[in-house]
Amino acid sequence: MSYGEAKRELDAILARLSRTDVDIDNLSTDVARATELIALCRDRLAGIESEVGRILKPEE
Amino acid sequence: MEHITLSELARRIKLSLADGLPLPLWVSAEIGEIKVNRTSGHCYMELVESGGGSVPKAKLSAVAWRSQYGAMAAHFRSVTGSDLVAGLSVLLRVVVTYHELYGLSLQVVDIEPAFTLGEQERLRRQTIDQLTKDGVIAMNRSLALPVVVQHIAVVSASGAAGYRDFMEHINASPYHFQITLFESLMQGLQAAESVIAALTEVAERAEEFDAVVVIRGGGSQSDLSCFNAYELCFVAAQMPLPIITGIGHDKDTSVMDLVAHTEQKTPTAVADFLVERMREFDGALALAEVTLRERVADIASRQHSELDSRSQLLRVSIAHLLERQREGLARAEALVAVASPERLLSRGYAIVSGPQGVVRSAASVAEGSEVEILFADGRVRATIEKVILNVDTE
Repeated sequence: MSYGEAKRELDAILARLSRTDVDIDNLSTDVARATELIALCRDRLAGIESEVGRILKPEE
Repeated sequence: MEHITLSELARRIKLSLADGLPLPLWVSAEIGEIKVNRTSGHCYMELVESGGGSVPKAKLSAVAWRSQYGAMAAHFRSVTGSDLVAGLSVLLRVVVTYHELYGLSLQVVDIEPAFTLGEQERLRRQTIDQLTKDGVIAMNRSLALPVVVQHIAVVSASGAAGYRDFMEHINASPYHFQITLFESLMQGLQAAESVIAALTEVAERAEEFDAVVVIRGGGSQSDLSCFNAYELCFVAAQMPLPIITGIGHDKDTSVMDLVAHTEQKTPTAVADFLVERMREFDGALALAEVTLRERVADIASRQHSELDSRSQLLRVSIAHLLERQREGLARAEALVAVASPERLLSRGYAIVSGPQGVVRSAASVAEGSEVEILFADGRVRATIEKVILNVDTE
């Protein structure tokens, strides 16, 4: 799953959670998924950052 | 047969020359060859008048004695910025002498430098007009000079001070240039032809180079006229590569400079121009690198804060949601509590039931029938003594 896809799914869950007719039975599933997506994005971002840092490292 | 001796003929030629020619005379001519004798200091010239073809219309030898030559050459240089060299059109004041042994000879006694300037200007104008008419005058200037000019064809004389100066400045720079020399004569009668040959050779290898540098100079000012020659400028204007000139003169701009993409005054200035261009590019690269780093950092930090705020939002949404649900449940509980029969009974209400269940109306019981009354703490059995209906009840 790409960073963008993960972020889009995360936003969809957050939008769903802000509605009044929330499905309480699926709440814990939603929250678990959202937490997982945030972790995935953070992980992906850190990886990309370190890779870019390595590319931009001045040549010896 | 009547005759005269050779010496008599020579004497008569000499006489008729002296009678028939008011001397000295101002004569316009082109210097075909010129040589200064190192030991004597006298200057020997071949004066020619071109007839357009390969054979000149006229040709005469001339000499300027040391006593006059030094002053003439200095005067000429101070006005025109050029030495007296082959190829120049000059206006000379000459004395014609005839010697019985050495024949006819011309002695140059004065020179009018303004004539040479005028001739050069006329040639210059003529070349410019023709190039304009040909539609080629702006062709080289319209070429794009690459941002990085690194592979350079140099047209110059290998031993020239100008070429040495150029290479010294190029080599002293921190940048790498690839210089290929195309040797050429840069002054004298054959210069124009020689430069054309060199440029033609460069043009054949055009894809190997970013630009052509034409340099001459260092040292004394000399003749520019070859760089005003139509044939050379015609070729130069149509070069497939941008030309950068450093012809080494500050008195005048040649037509070659005019048609070139970029004109610099000296070979050193050309080198500095190229190095400076490289430095600018280097600076732009460094700036681009810094900008790239900044952009990357910006993007990353924006993404971090977006993820942080979503994480925060998730927490807050969940808390609100659960709180809302808890409140809803509590409200329902309260409603239920309010509606419970135990609560009603404890507040003094009682429930009456008959054989058909809960009695909801006085009219539904008959006098004398038995009912049960439910209280919070127990029940009583009772008999209906009297039924009194409300008066206004229909």
